[in-house]
Amino acid sequence: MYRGACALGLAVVAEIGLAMELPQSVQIHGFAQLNPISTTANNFFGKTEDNVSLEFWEFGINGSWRPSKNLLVSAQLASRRAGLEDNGAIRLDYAMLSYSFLDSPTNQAGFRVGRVLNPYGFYNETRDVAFTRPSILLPQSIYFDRTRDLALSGDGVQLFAQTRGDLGDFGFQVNIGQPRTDDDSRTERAILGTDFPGELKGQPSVLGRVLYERGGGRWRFGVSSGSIRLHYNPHGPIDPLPDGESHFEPLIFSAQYNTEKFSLTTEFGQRVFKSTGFGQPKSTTTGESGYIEGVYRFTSQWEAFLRYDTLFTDRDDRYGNIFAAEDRFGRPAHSRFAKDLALGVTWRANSSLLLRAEYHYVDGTAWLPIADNPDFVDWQRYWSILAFQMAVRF
Amino acid sequence: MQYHTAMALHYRLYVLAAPLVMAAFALIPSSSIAQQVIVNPSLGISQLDLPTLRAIFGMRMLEWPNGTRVIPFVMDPSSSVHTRFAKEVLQVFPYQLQQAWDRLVFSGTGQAPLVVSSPAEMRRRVGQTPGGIGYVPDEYASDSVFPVEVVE
Repeated sequence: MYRGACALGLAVVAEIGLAMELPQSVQIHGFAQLNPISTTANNFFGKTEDNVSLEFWEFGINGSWRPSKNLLVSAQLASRRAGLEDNGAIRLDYAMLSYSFLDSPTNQAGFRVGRVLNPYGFYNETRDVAFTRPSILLPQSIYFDRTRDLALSGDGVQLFAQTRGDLGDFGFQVNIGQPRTDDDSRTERAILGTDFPGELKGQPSVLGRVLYERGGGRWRFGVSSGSIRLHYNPHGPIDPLPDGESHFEPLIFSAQYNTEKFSLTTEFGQRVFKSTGFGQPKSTTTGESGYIEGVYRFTSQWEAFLRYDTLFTDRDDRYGNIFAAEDRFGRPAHSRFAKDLALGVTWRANSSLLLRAEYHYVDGTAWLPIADNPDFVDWQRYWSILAFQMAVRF
Repeated sequence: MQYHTAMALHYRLYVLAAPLVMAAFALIPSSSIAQQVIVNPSLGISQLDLPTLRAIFGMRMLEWPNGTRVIPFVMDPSSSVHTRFAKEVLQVFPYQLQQAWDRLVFSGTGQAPLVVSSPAEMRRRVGQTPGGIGYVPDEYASDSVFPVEVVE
């Protein structure tokens, strides 16, 4: 029913866009991507092992309307299929009303209410749109695709402010609200290790980011942090997992240097994961994430990137040996880290068509999609990914 | 002696060639004519500083000091007129502008500039739109729009 209504909504939006002369303040944009993937071992978004899978695609349509200069209404519907990890259901990524109560030539401040995007790192808010990212897969140590919905947006309010002066431009956003757990089983697999009978629900959470830009974006810096809380309600007494709560507290630093031909980007930080209840003693695990990436633009159409991305789920047990010895699901030690060396090329045919190819050599399985690889005994520590992308937008 | 004759001949060739080279450059308008920022005359603006202009074309400044909504127009982002405007006037790279617009559009926090297809259309649309701002090659600046001086 929900899906049908969304599809109808899409059709109506498209119809209006085509049939009516829209006011100048209405804009409709969209994107669609197909990403064929093959891997040497393990499955990544589809049956990819020694096979080319077409089960990783994304599309979305968004609209925005500025009824007055300090009011903006915007929403995006999207569908994402990622092997068994994401089923392609149409979902509401964001739907919000933005109001700026301060709008001078040098300062803006206001708030957004509704389903708002999470301010996190350089890429989170537009993570699904190929044109806004340098590669097919974003660095997984920072942008976990297996918790995509949870990471992308939440329901609540965002306060925002920006100011510019001689020193450069400062921007600040903070979200207060409830994390999205629409697809409860996917979130449970990512957070709890498997899909339990009960329900994992978002609790009041906070996430904020400060961005600083100099020289018209030549230098960009950011710090993102917050506290995301999830609560597990067991499904009656038969549930093997008792009541518990997870806190996720990331602290991510971002930096980028841009020249005409070359961009250097790094994002790194720590992710603290606290857990209480679940029939276990209280635990705190601090993970470390980080990548460094260079992009070189040969022409305005051709570019290439090289990136090294590392993730350690627990900095006190980097290679997962202690974890593997005690884990009740039998997860291997290499499920606690991942080092990914990636390189790829992009061809921007024009402003609405893009093609990409990239290769990843991965040591570790810390961000392997669990639904695509249900048996931990099959997980391989060393593997590689070859991915292609065809993307359009309007 | 012979050496001096050769020098003089070279010199004369340069003198002859110079106007020809200059004439040739004049025939290639897109590479020799500067980009002129233009605004709707009702704004009464004749000067803008570079950070303000960057904020305007980065779609981050929404309101003119007189309260009118800022409405930026751009040429096709892959055109040479746009590329030159970005690099020479704004002193940013065209890909950075595109990234900034994409971030706003696909995060629902802002809108993209309106794209026009020719300098003549740019001049007309900016002239007709209260709050309108755009840019044209010098030769297209006229009375219907106010040229704006960019100060750093």
